[in-house]
Amino acid sequence: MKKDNSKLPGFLTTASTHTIGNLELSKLLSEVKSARVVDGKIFIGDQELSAYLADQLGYDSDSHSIKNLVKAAILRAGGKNGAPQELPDGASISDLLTADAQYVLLASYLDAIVKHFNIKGAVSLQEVNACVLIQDAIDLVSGKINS
Amino acid sequence: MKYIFVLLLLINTIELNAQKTPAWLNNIGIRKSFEDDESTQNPGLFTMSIPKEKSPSYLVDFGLKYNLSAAAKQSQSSIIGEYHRNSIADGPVNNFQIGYKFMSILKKPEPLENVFDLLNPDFIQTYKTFKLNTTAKYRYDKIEGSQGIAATAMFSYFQQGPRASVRTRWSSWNSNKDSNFAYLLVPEFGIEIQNNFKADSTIYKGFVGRTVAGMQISFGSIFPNKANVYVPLNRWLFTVDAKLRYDVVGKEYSSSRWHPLIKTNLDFFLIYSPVKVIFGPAFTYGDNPIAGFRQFNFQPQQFWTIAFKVQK
Repeated sequence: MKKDNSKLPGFLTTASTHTIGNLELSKLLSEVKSARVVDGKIFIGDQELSAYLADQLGYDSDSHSIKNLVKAAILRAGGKNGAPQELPDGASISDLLTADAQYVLLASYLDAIVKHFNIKGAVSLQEVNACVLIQDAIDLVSGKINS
Repeated sequence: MKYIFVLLLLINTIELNAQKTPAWLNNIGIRKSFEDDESTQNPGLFTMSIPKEKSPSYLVDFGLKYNLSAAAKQSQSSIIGEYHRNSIADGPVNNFQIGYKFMSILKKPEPLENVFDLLNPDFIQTYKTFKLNTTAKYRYDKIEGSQGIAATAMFSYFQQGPRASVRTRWSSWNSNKDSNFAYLLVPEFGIEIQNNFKADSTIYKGFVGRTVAGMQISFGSIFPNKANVYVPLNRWLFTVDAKLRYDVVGKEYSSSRWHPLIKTNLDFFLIYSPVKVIFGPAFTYGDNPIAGFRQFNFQPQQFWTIAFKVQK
């Protein structure tokens, strides 16, 4: 996938006075120009486009993964503070959510996550109630995003 | 007042939810009664002793629920059955109920503005809603010789946020991975009606409508769980389930229009795995006309139990 400078947005040209600086911009530009399509997926260097963009935006691709988003949703629905990485995949959701209203809140969170990545996707309360373990909820959301 | 020591096998409010469990088992719930909010644990209870020379004694508080559909659109319909039998208190109880339950959460949460807010460790979204628990039941009471219908409509209140403190929570446990104390408050209010269309005595025949107000309070000491820091383990847990009923319309089945009912439990957790083994006393005071737990000699009843409990 190659584009000439004239088709790039204004802020991505070396003439820009964008705050990240012309040298950085020049480096970015050459990386973007090196983009190639492999098996229908866009790669920049060794990274898939989404991972590359996450890096550039300062996102830690692990902490911002779907898995961690789902775990965070379960913790917040259960009224818990803290980092989602510490929540085991094999834990039971019912140990964290004890009220029916918390399941409604979780369904709302998981639905928002799916819609963020796949605007046509949706998660119902019925599907959330069928999840027993944290891993079930991760699989549900990942499946909806990729469908 | 009677003191008894019993070994009980108590079945928790189930989540018979293990993986690969058949779907119909996932729809079953067990607890003492299904009239109230199900935010707190209230395990079913069954004990019976059959002496050689004396009459058998019973203490049964057992309710079974089967969900007709998985919870969807914030509501759920269930078939419920309850059996209450008590021969260890001053006044006997032998009461059976079967009917329908409808639960509904009245308000949806606001949609998230940014899903990545969830990754903020201190993020707690404000969510306030009432929950409605309604039941309609046929009841048969062998002691009264009565048959009739009973219906309840109870509202409970749920709130989480805006901050993760006790003051901003109702019907939601206040505990975190660093906590050493957990706290739960569940307020309830509503109405119940009872119409006994047949009874051995005219005392128990007729219609009565009551208002009901209640509060469930649980608190206890907790410590970190190495297997899951977000699910702390209990050292001890004290629970009070208090309800006050008042006969507003219709006849009185007893000497007073007021019907207090207070159930307390103090549980000490002895073993956590593979099952929880809990030991502690429980105290019950008052009366509950629909469940057949009535006054004795024109006074509220009271009795103690001390039990070992086994929970999944």
